[in-house]
Amino acid sequence: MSGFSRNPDGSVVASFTHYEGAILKSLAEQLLELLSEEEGKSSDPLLAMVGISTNDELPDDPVLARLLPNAYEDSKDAAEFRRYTEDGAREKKKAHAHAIRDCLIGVLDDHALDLNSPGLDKRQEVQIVLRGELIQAWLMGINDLRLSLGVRLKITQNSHEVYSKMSEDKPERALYNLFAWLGWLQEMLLTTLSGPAQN
Amino acid sequence: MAISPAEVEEDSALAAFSTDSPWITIVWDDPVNLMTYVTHVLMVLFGYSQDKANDLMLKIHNEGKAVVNSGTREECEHDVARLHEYGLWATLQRSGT
Repeated sequence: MSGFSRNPDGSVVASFTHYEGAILKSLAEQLLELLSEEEGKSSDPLLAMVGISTNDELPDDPVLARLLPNAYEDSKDAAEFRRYTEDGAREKKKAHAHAIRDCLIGVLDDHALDLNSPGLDKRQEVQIVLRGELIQAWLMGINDLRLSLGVRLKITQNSHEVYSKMSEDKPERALYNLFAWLGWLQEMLLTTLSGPAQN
Repeated sequence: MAISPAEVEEDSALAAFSTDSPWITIVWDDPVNLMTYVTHVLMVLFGYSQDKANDLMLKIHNEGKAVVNSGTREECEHDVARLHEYGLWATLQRSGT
């Protein structure tokens, strides 16, 4: 049974099957790849060293635009703010995805990293202990994955009704199931954090 | 709809946000972020009580947006950067505009 529980010392234990862990790791890697795109595009290397970019536009990719939104409604102010902050914001988002990926690589067997591997017992469980900042990094990383899938699926308030009626054979339905699973995972992590530590 | 004393208090607290300080931090509603997550983020970033964070989250959900903090321009820019790090959709603007 996948999910989260809390130790008396405040640390959080994340439990996943190999199958779930491999999926989560793959999603985190896709997000890392996306966040690395367009990076440093036409940037001045000296300014880049101190975290200032010459790029001041909202990213073209709708997922990146949602992950790195404008801070001002006024476009001039938004561009100015973006020049000084976007590189740093990307790095933070990447650090969260990296945290998830690295934890999973640490516990998954080599053969579990390939879901098509014949020797893989997909139901075998792995456990990860999360402490301090790593807990918030996972929370933010899972949220970024939900936001990314949410944009691709064009999620609105009544999406659940639409997708739950869709045939299981459709790729959009499979993607929606992933989105719903991440929501369930995040909700469970939040519940674990708000509740008392278990003995 | 009847207004409970708690809601009146919350409204005047928000009014204080927007008139006493030059800049305000706004969080906008979006269809993906979980309600419990938004409440959690407001508690973590601003140190709000569960009740206050929950009231603000409901305001965002029901009215499309809410002022979650106020201060100098630099303070609000810091707020927005942190809120974006958590994946909330936030902007800042001059108070009263």
